[in-house]
Amino acid sequence: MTTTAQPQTQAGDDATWAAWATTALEAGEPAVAERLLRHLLQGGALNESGRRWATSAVAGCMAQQGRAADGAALLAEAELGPPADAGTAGWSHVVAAAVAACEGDDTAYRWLLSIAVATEGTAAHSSVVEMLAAAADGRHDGVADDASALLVRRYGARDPHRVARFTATVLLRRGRQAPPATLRGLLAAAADNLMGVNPDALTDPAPAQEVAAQLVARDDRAGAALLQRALARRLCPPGARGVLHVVRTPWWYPLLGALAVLAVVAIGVAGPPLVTTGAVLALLLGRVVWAHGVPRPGLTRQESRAWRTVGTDARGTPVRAGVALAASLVGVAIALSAVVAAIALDPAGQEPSWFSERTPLVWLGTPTLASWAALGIATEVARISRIRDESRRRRAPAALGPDGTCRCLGVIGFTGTGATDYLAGHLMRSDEVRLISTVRAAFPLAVVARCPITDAVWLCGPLGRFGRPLALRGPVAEDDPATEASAEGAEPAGSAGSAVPAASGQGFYL
Amino acid sequence: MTARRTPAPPRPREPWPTGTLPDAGPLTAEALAGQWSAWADGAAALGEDAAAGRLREAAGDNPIALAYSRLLAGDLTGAGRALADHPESLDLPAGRLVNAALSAARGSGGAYEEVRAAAEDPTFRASETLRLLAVVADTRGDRAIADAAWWRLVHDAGADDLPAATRFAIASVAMRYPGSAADAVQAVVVDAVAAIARTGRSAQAARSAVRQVVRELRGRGDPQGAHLVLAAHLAVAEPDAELRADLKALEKNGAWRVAGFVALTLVCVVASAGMPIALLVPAIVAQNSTYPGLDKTASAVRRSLRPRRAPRGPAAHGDDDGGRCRCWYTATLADQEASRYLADHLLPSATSACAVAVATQLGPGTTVARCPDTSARWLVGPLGAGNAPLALRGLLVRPSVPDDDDLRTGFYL
Repeated sequence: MTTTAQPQTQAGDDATWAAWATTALEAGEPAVAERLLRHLLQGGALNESGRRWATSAVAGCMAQQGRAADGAALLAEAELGPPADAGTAGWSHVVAAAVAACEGDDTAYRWLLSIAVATEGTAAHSSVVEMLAAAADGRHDGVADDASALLVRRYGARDPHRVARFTATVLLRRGRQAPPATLRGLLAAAADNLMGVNPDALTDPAPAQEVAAQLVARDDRAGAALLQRALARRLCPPGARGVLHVVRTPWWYPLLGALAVLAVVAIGVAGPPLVTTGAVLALLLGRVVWAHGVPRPGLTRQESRAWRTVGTDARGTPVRAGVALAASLVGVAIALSAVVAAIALDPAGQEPSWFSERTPLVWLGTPTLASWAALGIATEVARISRIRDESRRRRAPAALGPDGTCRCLGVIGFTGTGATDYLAGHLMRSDEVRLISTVRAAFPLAVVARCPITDAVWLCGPLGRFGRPLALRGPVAEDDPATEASAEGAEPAGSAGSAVPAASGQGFYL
Repeated sequence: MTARRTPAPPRPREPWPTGTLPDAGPLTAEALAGQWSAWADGAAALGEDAAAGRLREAAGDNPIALAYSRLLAGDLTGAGRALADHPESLDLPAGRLVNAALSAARGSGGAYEEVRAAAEDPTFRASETLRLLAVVADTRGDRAIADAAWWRLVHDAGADDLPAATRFAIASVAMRYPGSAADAVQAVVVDAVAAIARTGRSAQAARSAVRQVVRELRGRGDPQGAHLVLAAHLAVAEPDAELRADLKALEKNGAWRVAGFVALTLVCVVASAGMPIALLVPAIVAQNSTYPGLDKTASAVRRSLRPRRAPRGPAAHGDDDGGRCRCWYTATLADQEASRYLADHLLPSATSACAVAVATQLGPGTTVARCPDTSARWLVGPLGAGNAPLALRGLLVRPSVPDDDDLRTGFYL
């Protein structure tokens, strides 16, 4: 039995492009899928049902990208429309209904909703809901939010667009007066959600940008500000932090604290000790009042509290008592030695006049302040290292590929670092000139690669939204049971147009 | 090939069918015929077995399911009657199983063994056999088996109705290992109350469920578990003033304890001139003090469960969906959500002989309503335990799929 699936023939080529398109759809990249399918429609030798599948899929991709008018034109040209009678519904009808609904057809929208009711509990429901989401989006209907939430919660959708939409919905529905702890939990979950989309999300700011853009577009700058803060506090990629600056704090805001501290220092140098003590106490009191009572611009009081404390309460106290004690002692020691050194190295060797008056202040105040500062630093260090641990743990299982293990039979594609790692660690560059030249015509940045073991053809490269790396697998040869089953079930192999790829229970690794 | 194309590009608005349901028109007895068993399934999914029994009786097409629902609702004679009226149902494995459960509930030891074996049998659905076993064991007073069955029903079979979640909470707290560390105990009680919160029922229903758990655990001689469940519910769920009062009644002198602790902290801070080291003293005291009635481990758990405070100002209305259609992903709604969906989204059916018949059969206040978007029929009314409002979605005819255009698998065949 040969395992080669050299896509030298037209049918082999078509099967490869169709498999790539399927994976791109599954990965939530309708733009890539659309380009692949268009190539198939223009150049491929499809039979009638294959052509209808590809046309519907292209129209669906267009609706998902907000270009329903193009989709409607395409469907009208292919004469795809409503079912002949009320009792039947196929995939092309669902897509046609979604496109018509985007174009403002209420009957089509209601028909689509009723199909979603009727298919609930079947395998088709998630695909129907995807189309429903596109239709509702086109009609600016809140059903789109519910559909995204359902796809993420019930069907485990992981593509960045969907998760971003879901996260935006969750944030938009927060109660603005909810207790800070609730808001904080919500924000931490949203940040984790975004960073968990892709094991590689630590360097991929795109989903976070999309959420922020959606929140701003729906008039919730406060939500965007909170998300920005939550991501920064949970150590999101520096790129995300830079681009996320949708909400700016006033420039004088951070200066206030510095000015207050400078004022107190000035009083300490110039004024009598009693006034200095009062000023220090006033500074501390003012800090507490500021943190608890003064809302940040554009935020409610509860949101401000959440903004200030988000990221500090991830399970358990971050600093153990021993570390706190050590930090305090180090602070005391440093401060005391500084004071002693100041006395010992006093060049004049005589008692400085200003020193004697403030001796109690210096001896007590300096070590106290120093040890509080040391405690604060220890807390922050502990927090950062804990969050780094968490993200490393989250990331570990997806680190695959570099060891050269072949996963071409178990997986239909990778996104993010998974894609780059698999290309670098396992796949070989293909040398098939004809395929490469056609692929390059459609995707200038693409790399065509080949698995040395199964001979599967892979389409790799930064092709996704915002340049997200993708690796899309082509069909695998006969030893793949899924392919075999479909080859038996469908037309005889080799007949033109059996381009629709195999059903598979295989996972898609993000 | 069938004639599947509509050659009508010029007029694209007309041809979409107005729903897959044949009954977009008036409410007739035929239109209702197919709906009863779908409504009964919805009631069963909510754990409202009495309502499910009445609906199955109205459907009248499945004596085994009727006997099953009646048995779960505790109506042994009714269940026996349902099976006796249709002796042919005993030819099926499911009928024999329900019959065995009935005998077991009446005291037969051999039948009980049969039900226990069925709970391990992969040919049955675990969510049904475990529930059957749990109810039978409850009736026989076999607490160990009942607890294990309820626990598995929620934990393994994924049941998410309120009665099952309540019994899960009781079972998991009662079965906790006596020598567990505080972390493990905390995980158990939080998990227990999270199961109740996951049912999505109203605060009032959750409150009575928590009170039932507390009562049952106290009755079993586990006042510490009861105390922790109460505290965990207040820490996880929305703030609830009545349960808060229950917890306060358990923790006498709470205010004095807090005041004493604050005073100790202040004394330490002042005595050490503000050195952070001094805070170790109150921290150590706090770690080692206990709540009245709780031992050291339970006190540590209680300390980690801080009750949530009610927000001041206007009540937060986070999830206001403004009467959007939810029929395409929800088959059941309970409590205020049900009444709100009826008021905001559904269209009550016009008074007809059929609607009157439904109301007389199921009690006043029960109506059949229609979704204006999907034309799904909903049964709405005070059908639940304690007259809780329920909304149950009916059936839409599943469209047939053209041979060469597969709806089942969507894009990817």
